[in-house]
Amino acid sequence: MTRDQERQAADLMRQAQQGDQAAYASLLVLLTVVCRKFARARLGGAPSLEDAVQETLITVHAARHTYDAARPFAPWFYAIATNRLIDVVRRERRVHRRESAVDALPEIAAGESSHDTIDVETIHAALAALPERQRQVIEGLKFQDRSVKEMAGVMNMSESAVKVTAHRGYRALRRLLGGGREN
Amino acid sequence: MADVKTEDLIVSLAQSATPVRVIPPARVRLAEWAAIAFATAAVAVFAVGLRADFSVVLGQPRYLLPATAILVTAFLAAAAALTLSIPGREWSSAQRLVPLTTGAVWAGLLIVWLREGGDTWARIAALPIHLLCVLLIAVLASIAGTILTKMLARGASLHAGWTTALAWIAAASTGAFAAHITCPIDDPAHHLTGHFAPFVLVVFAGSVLTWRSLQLWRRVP
Repeated sequence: MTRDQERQAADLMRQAQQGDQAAYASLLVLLTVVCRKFARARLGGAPSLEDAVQETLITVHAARHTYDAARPFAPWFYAIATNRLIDVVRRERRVHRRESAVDALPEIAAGESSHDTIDVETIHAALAALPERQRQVIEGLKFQDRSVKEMAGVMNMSESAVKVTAHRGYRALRRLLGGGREN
Repeated sequence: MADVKTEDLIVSLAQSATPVRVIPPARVRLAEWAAIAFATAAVAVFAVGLRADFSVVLGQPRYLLPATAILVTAFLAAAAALTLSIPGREWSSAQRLVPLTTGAVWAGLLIVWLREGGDTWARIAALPIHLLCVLLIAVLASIAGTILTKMLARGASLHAGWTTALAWIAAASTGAFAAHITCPIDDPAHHLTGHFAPFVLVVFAGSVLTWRSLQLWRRVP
């Protein structure tokens, strides 16, 4: 983060803490750029790079009440980014170890088309393995054809929380389903 | 299944941004906690009563050194926990280790003095524990620890395990200090089994029971 970026981020965060949504959006865009560069330097082109960026943004959002405007912005931000990056790397390693040690997931039956399919039973088995909230959100959005707004009402969550929960659930499903092509 | 794109996530987060109440600096929260914790300890000490020869032993290194080590541990541990509850505020991981060191000094002094008196294991095995000392430590630590944990939960600790452990070291030290200035027994075997051991148990139990509460801030509302 350059000095100018840091100064800009500090100003935007100060405004965001007072509820200025436009300033907050600008801040998040700026932090996305900085975070991608930070993560790329450490993860290269790893598929988990965007996960790390999104996890960092979510954590910045949850922790924004702790930033002291009288202090530099960079140490606060990079502490969060580093912590999230480490978490993502550890999670990837755990998944890799688990997936290497376990027998292959139920074989994906090749369909008549040239594309691989994942059968419904496998999807339901994977869904059942998710945390309750993630499972409910995904089932609501994908199987019951509800909108994000409807799910927010049903589950007494904000729309952004529904989207974040869905995102985490999709990611977990992707890992459980072994990255097979999804229909 | 479509993932949430980062751009969509930014829009969602920005739309949900409301004014926040910025938490006070760590030094302000430390002062608040110290005032409450030591006021509570003062009430307990008043109820139990200072040891009768307090003004005499205060000038003795064998009394003063452990008391100082316990008090310093309480403050440093609380300061470290409060610092850790704000991302990026910790100046070095040494900040977490210093309270452990002063706590180890307390234990070390007791062990050295215990060995000087001979019959070390026999005196420990006799378990010279008194219920009042244990109760004082447990009750005061519970009050101070609960208050400090609630204060820390308002922050955003990236190291919940360390933060919780330091908080309960601070809280248990408060109780141990009160026990030290009210207990009339000077035997190091009693201090090890009846003060230091309950201190360790309270730190362990408090940390295990409350560390999850320091992770609740990560839930997106």
